[in-house]
Amino acid sequence: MSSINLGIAAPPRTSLLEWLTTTDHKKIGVMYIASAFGFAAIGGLIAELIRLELAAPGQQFVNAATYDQLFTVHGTLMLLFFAGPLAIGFANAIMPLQIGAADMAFPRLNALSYWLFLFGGLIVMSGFLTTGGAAAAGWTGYAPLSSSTFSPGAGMDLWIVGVALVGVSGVLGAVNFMVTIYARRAPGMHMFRMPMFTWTVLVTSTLILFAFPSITAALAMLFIDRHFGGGFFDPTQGGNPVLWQHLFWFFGHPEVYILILPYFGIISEVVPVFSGKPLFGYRFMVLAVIAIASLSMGVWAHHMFTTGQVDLPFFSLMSLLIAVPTGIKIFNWIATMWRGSLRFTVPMLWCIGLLYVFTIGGISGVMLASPPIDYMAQDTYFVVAHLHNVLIGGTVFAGFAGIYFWFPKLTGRRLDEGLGKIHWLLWVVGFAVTFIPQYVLGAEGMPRRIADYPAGRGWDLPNLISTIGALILAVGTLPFLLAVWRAMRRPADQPADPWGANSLEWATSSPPPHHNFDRLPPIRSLRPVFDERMAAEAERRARGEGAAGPTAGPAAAGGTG
Amino acid sequence: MEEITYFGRLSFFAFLVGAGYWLVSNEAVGTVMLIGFGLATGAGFTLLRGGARHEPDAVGDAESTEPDGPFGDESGPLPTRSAAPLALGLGVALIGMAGAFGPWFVLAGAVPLVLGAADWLRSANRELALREHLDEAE
Repeated sequence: MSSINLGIAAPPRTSLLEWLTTTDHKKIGVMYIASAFGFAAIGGLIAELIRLELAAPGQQFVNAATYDQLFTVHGTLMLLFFAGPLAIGFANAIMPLQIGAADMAFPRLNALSYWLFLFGGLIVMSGFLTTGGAAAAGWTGYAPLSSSTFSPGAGMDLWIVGVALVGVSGVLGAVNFMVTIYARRAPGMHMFRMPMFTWTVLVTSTLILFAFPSITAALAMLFIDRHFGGGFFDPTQGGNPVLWQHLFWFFGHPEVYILILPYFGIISEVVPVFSGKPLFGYRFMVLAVIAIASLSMGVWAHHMFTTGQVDLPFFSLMSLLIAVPTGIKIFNWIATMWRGSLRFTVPMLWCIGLLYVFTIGGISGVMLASPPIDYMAQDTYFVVAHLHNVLIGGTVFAGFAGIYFWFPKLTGRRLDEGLGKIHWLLWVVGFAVTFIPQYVLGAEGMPRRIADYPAGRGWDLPNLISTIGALILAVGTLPFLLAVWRAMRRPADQPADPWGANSLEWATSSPPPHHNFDRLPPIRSLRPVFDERMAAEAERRARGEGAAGPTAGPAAAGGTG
Repeated sequence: MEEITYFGRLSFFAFLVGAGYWLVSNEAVGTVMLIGFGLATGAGFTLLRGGARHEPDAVGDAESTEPDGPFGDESGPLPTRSAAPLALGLGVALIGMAGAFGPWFVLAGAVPLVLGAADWLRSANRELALREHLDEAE
């Protein structure tokens, strides 16, 4: 590699100025992750407020107009400013290490992507400070609800600007990830030796590149409608509000996979390490990711079944087809664990939690892909339960797996296992208590996005249980925060490879130097660090010495991929 | 050359689905979006194929000194710390807020935008000159 490090040698503690001016992919990754969790904290507090409002019939805390703003900003923050950017944070921090690169292809552009995302989120939230309040048209911003007639305030404009900024940020980031993966891989790291996480970053970047322009165009059209008398979505001027839905969901459904696929990559990294086996069916996993991404571009209108303006059999078939590659992935993770030397560390527990939570969400998704069921469940709490099942199950559970897994690499410190297990247990229980009653509510016909409901319709008890579950989730987050706080008070003491892992990021120190690698192991398989560990082990045995040191971890069975 | 065929396959898939969708639905918006996806990925395929510089047999060689893949090493010096991305991002965000609060925000945003862009270009030029100097020295 001909990269030359001109960076300033890192001092023991990083100053605020360094964080503000950094172009180091690892620091930018940490900034993404921290900011995403910051937005999640705000979105989570809003969620608690929503659940408290719905705990019993009658208006308790907020009026209907405020409630509309709360669920709009909650959805926008959680989807566009937490789940997506958290994945981008992991991609920033880990992907260049996994391919043996010194940094991203365009480090300054990478920093710009981060700042656009951060300012975008702050702009969306600043709507609460305006006289009319924040946007209140739902995270989907459906026209004509988002038009100047029904959403006249500045809050809706701020939402448009904020979402547009995160869209631009996403496209810039996607280009950067793709060029990095295409042009910066270490010698020997050909495409089918790339770790699964890197594959998912590549495929996700492709989706972002081709799906995000659709929402950017839709936002521009909405802005023109609101301020310059355009009539794109106004039937009285020859426009069509369903056009918004087409444009939004042509971005919005791939967005679901943009949110999920990198987290699938995280699971594919964690499960083999703690199963002591290579990933089962690596090539099928790669093809499954590509298949999911490809199919996701052709399913957008399953969100529009009840408009009566879309071809039901086509979109139903395409939606059902996605279950096949997704099923392959679930099967392969279980097959990787099968007869493995399982270690139930906290990252592994989150993966196991994901398998059950995400699969419930996936199965309810298959139900909703059937138009007759979708017509009954449209805009009910069944859909709310489903989307939280897939999104929390898919992104948050895997996100926590990734945090516990890579925290030692990024900080040189390990999160407390005991606190991590309490965190995991409270989330698994809290999740079920929160969202299973919402399936019941949906089946009983409770509409989503209502601030109040009449007593005596059988909705009272499930709502109360769901609120208790949401409180368990909030309490369950505290052990995680405590674990992070305690870890950061300790000095960095973790070795390069504390888990006995496989991919290149574990070949460098924890945390890595600014230029990432002082030396790279030869890359002749999917698991170069494993190969090197085995070679060192064989050499030690040949010399008649004892077992490997603390960084080697358990010897894994099976081939090298 | 998986890097290149990846785009080609995506393009083929998009055209296939787009054509199928048009046949079963006669719906214009979705067809345009799917065919647009096919054209965009097809353009990516064409551009990448034109940009490839390495032969396929160079791929996967752990003893090589060049990055893997068909596009060669274009990596330069790692950039030093820079306030340009922050300034540029702030400028764009302030200009964006003009959409909600009026044109005065364009003026407020123009200052950090111009400063950030100028600093960015200066730094990039400096690194380019350094790279050329190093290339000559080699």
